[in-house]
Order: sequence, then C-alpha cells, then structure tokens
Amino acid sequence: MNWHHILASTPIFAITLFLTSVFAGIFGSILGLGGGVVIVPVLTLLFGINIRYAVGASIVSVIATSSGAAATYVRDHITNIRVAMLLEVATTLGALGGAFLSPFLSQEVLFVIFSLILFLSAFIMFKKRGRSHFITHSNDRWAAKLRLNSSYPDRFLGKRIEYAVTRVPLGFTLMLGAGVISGMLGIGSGALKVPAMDSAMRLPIKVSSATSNFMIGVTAAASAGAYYMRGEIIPIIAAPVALGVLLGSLFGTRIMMKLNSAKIRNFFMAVLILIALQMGFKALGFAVR
Amino acid sequence: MNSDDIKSSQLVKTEVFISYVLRYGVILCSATIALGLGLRLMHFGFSSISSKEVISRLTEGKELVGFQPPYSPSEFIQGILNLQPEVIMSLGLVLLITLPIVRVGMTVMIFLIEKDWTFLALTSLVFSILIFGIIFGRTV
Repeated sequence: MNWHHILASTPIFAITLFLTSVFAGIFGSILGLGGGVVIVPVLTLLFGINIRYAVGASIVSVIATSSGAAATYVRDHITNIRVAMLLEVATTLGALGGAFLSPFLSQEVLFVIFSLILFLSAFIMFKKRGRSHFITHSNDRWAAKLRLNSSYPDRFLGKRIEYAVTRVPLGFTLMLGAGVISGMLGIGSGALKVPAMDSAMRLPIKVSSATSNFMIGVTAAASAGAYYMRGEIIPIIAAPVALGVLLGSLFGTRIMMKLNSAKIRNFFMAVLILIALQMGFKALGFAVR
Repeated sequence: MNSDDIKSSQLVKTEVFISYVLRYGVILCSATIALGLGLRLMHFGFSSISSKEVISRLTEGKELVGFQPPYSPSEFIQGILNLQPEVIMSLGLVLLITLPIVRVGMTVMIFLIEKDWTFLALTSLVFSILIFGIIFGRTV
C-alpha cells in the first residue's frame, strides 16, 4: 500500500490530519499538554512530512489547545492566573532564546536531555502519588507575598478545594529550562510544566493541567513568530491541525473537569513515559545516521 | 476566607468579558482558517504548482522551496480580495498566534483594575517579551 498515493489527495490529507488533531486536542486539554506528542510522530512517521513542518504544525496545535481550553478553564476558575503569569516570565524568556538558537544548534543532545528529564519527572510524580499529594498550607514566602494560594471547584469531588503553593523559586528555574527546551524543539512545554507545578510546587493536578494549558499557548506564541517567518508553518498542514485541535479541546475541557484527579495523574505519567521513549528513539535515530 | 475568593463584581465582570473575547477570537480564527481550507479543497486560487504536487512533496519529507509566508498587510488584503486559499489560511493562523498575546494583554487589564502593581509589572513584562518575539522573529 502506497500511502503517498492515497494521501496525495488533498481532501483525504486534510481530513486525516483533522481527525488526528481532534484526538490530539482532547488528549492535550485534559492533561495540560499541547497535542504535539501526538501530532509530531503522526506527521513525521505516518504522513512522512519533514520534521520542520511537523514542528511548525505542533506549535500551532499548542496555541490552539491553549486558546480552546483557556476560555473554559478561566471562566470556571480552575486556572491559577497568578502562578501562570509569574512562571510565564521564565518560560517566555526561555522560549525566545530557544527559538532563536534553534537553527544553529544540533538537536540530538537536546532529545536525549529532554528524554532523561521526562523519565525523571515521571519517576518523581510516581513517588509522590498518594491521596492528597497537594498541600493546603505553605511556608513559602513568595507564595504568601504574591498571593499565589487559591482554591478551585472540583466537579468530580463535588466541592471547592483549597490549596497552597510552595518552592516557587525552584518552579521558576524549572520553567526557564522548560522554556528553552520547548523553544528549541517546538514541542513539549506542557510535558515539562505540569510535572514542575505538580511535583515541585505541589499544586493539585487539575490546577496544574489548566494552568499549563493557559501557559503553553503563551510560550508557543513567543517562538511562533520565528517559525512562521521561516516558512515552517505550512497552511495545508497547519490549517486542518488547528481546526481539529480547537474542536478536540472543546470536548477535552468538559471531560477533564468531571474526571477523578488520580486518574488524570496516572494517565499523565504514562504519557510522560511514552514521550520519553519517543524522544529516546529520535535521539537514537540521529545517532544511527 | 482566601482573599482571592473575595472578588469585586467589577473584576468578575472583567473575567467574564475576557472569557467572551477569547471564545469569539477562537470562533473568528476557526472561521477564517476553515474558509481558506474550504477554498483550497474546492480548487480555488492559483498557485504555481498544483495542490496534489504540494502534498506529494510534503509526504516525501521534502522541503517546499519557495513558500513565502504572507507578511505585509497589503499581501493579506490582496490575498483576501483574490480569494487565495493559502493567504486566507495564513491569516487565520496568524490571528490564532496572536490570541495568547491578546489574552496576556487582557490579563494586564485585570491586574490594573485589581491595582496589583507587582503582577501588573510581571504581566507587562511577559507582554513585552511576546511583542519582541513577534517583531524580531523576522530576522531569524
């Protein structure tokens, strides 16, 4: 079966991309990711598209997931906007630096580093599993000074959950690194943000996910300008992706609010490992060449 | 009681307003992108190579030589008037890229209304970094 001949039809190409992206959007908005973990492998492996255009499409999908989810999560007060804006200073600086450096540096080492960080994150999240891994009181002076502690309505539990934030400087530093890596690779900022908020700053998973969704769009927009100007956002690829992801995030946000938090965390850890393996294979792929 | 829970009605109204702006922004982007994609699927618009050839090249992992993303306002206007699918799709995508920036801009407004000077400064800083990224993205 020659995929190329089948896919060369524009409608089939567009529709298949669209459907894949709907799935990516549902998935991404539940976990606080941008859908790139689905989009990039599908575009490169299944469709055979050049990695640069796959990454361009991934940036679009991140912004789409973020925008699609933001309206719902902000309105329902799950997103912690203060934490988001504080950490955004770090991620946008990092992303800008990363995007500018991207054409000049080789990506092999980055894939390995990224892969290792993800394995580490999954391990840390696993160690911290347990019924109430988030905290209700914090001694962190930044959390107090900047009034980061808050609460959110949990539809699964049927009540309002109060929570506190801790280790803010650590979270900020992690976000700088996350910004650089995702600016260079064009993917993966959500996969680094959620563990940082969950494990380092100890936010409830739904808040981490919603806040990550809020943030990834801003991070992606910081580097999207560079990708667009380099002609790496191809309309016939990015258009169906954007539409699919926007639709998917519409469903994903509704599902997420009613889910059991423990299930979201477990799902997320499994996905982290999947992405880490994916990145590992990519790195090996580079090494083999 | 947590201080964040005590929200002035003005602030609540602003958050609701922002939520609507975001939602309508998403609808506008989607409509523009869908229009462009629809035009392409209906074989509108000239391009020097056929759509099938473009996709053939793309699915073989090649690079599209000579794809120039529309940049200036006149390019966009001309593309819209001539119903060029790729320009209209690019317009929708550019609007989508600006949505998070609009979102940050509105968050600046929230903190201005709340008179939270620290976060006003932080959010304005993020906004400036974003604008810098858009303007200087061209030089990369």
